[in-house]
Amino acid sequence: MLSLNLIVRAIVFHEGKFLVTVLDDGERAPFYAFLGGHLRAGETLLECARREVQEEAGLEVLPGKLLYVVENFFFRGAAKLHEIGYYFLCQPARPVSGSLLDVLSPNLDDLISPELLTPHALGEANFQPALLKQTLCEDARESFASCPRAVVINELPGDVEALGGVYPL
Amino acid sequence: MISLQLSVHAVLLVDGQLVLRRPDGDLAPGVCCGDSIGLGETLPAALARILKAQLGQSCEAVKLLYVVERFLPRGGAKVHELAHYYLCERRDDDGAPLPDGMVLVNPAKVKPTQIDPAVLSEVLPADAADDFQVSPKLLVVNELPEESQAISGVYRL
Repeated sequence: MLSLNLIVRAIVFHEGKFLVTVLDDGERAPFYAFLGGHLRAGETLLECARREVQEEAGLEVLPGKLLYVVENFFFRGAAKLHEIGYYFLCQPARPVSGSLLDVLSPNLDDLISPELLTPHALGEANFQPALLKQTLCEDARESFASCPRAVVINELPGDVEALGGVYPL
Repeated sequence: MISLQLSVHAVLLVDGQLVLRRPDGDLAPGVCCGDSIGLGETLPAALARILKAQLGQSCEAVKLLYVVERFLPRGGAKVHELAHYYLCERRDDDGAPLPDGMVLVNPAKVKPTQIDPAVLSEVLPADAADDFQVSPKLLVVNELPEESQAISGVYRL
């Protein structure tokens, strides 16, 4: 039996760098991921993206283009999850002078530790979901012109027939 | 408490006409083919399975057109419906007739009274004129303003 996980992630791509955070879920080695989290009752996908970045990094953003819909079938502890993630390209709502990191107010309670990574650095990093990493770096070079894309990750081949991969959407 | 419902739907054209179902009778607005999804299958795979069951034909989702977020009362419950509308193509395009209960409407002239949710009539005519070579759109319909602050409207994704 799978459980549904609906998440929204903000891809803040500012001056050629991705805003990411280090996450440590205690089960895997610490990894990089985009800011974001679970969709709450009563909010739209765009509102969720805006709220999550505000809560986690103290940054007001304007969510824009839908870049990826990531469907991920995986284990977490004893649970089997079907996670659908909506990844939006986001821009700071106000002009930023200097480094983006200087205007952030990371939520230390959530252990948010923001970093800025170039596409090349992100390609070398332990980023999750890993399957997204390669297409993300290529898409960034093309200003995400080929997006949106569907990304399917299937770590439950015994339960789910979905073929992992990156598909046009 | 708002419960979440995920669904997938088809913008399926046959001879340039949009295929709609009439699950609530001839007098009710039509709906795009589709249904709630089950877990364990991707959104396009779920849609292909549902279309096979509803139309008896193999179809493929080729492009995400709309994400429709509706906050609405339904059967005594409060629902956040997250519906994904894909442009679909028939794979068995052998001219087989559509099953009973289907109607065809001109997507360029579809009226709010002809389709549920009515907000689709705000985008379908222009997008059909562009042959659906358009970016996905987010359509928000909030009928639960006391539960959700979502602002109804059409947003480009």
